[in-house]
Amino acid sequence: MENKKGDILIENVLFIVLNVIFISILILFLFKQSSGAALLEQTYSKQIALMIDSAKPAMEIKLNMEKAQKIAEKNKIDFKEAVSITGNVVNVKLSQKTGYEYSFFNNVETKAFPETNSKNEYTGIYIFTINQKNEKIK
Amino acid sequence: MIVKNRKVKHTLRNTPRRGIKGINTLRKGIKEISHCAFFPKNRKAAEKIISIYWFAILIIIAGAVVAMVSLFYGAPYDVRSTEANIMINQVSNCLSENGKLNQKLFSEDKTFNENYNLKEECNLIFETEFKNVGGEYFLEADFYDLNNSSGKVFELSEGNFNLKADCKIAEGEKEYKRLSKCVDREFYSLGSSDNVFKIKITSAVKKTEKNVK
Repeated sequence: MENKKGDILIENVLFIVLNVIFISILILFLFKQSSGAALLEQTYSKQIALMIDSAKPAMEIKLNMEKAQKIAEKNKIDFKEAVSITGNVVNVKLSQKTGYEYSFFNNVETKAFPETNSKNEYTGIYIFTINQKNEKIK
Repeated sequence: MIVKNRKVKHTLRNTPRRGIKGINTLRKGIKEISHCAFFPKNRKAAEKIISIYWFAILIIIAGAVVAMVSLFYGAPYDVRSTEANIMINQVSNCLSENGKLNQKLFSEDKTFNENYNLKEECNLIFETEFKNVGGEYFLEADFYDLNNSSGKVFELSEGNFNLKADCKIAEGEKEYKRLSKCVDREFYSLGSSDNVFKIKITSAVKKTEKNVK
């Protein structure tokens, strides 16, 4: 009689534990997918491109990129090199293998650099300066 | 092993097990199988089969979740409408200032300036990361004189003219994802001799490679 009760208990406990493990793996998978480097690269590059499109010369825009900083540091990428702007194309690179670029149509000169504190540490904020192109000023 | 419409003496426990259908308890220890029973008499063998089914269900659920998540996160964000709207804002700001049309739009004889360069005057650059022919943007501004019923009096356009055809198709009920996204908006402004103009701006953005799966 004791063995029978013991069997039922072990079976049920094992059943619950396996189910919990299964659901935990699924939830972990979901979280990993939603915070992956590739997805963030796409989000940030499009966000930055649209931000530059709607900007006007002499503007300075600060963008909170803490999530990107965490992922870049995890993937051994210098946060200074995470965002680069070449011509009218924004490139966001948060891992060694990937990178995402998106173009903007606003013909302005844009510079991007990360903000640092007094200890020269990155604050997770990126600064974008928008200026009129030199040829336009002439 | 299939047992059909037969009373079977079982050594299974008294309470019916969860998940086994078709077994009705008559009295203690005797069960009637009213339908085809796909479980063998042996309890351990039956449990093995149930565990196989259980694993199959888990794999199906996991597969479905992985497929749904991949589909959801694999599809790129479509920002073309936003981009087209921003472009219209920029163009309208450069065509009209403080409710009056830009003086550069008019020549000395107060007629519209045919040499007005929309791209240059509105600070636009249409070169993209895509190396395909034609370009990824199209922009058109139509001017209607409201004091004059002759309709469109002037138009300006820039970019890939082929994208205009996409806008015509997009006017229909069915939405085609792989076509360019078109946005058109209009505003009113005063001309050089205080006559009112309606300006309709159409903007089309293709960029399907980066915005549509």
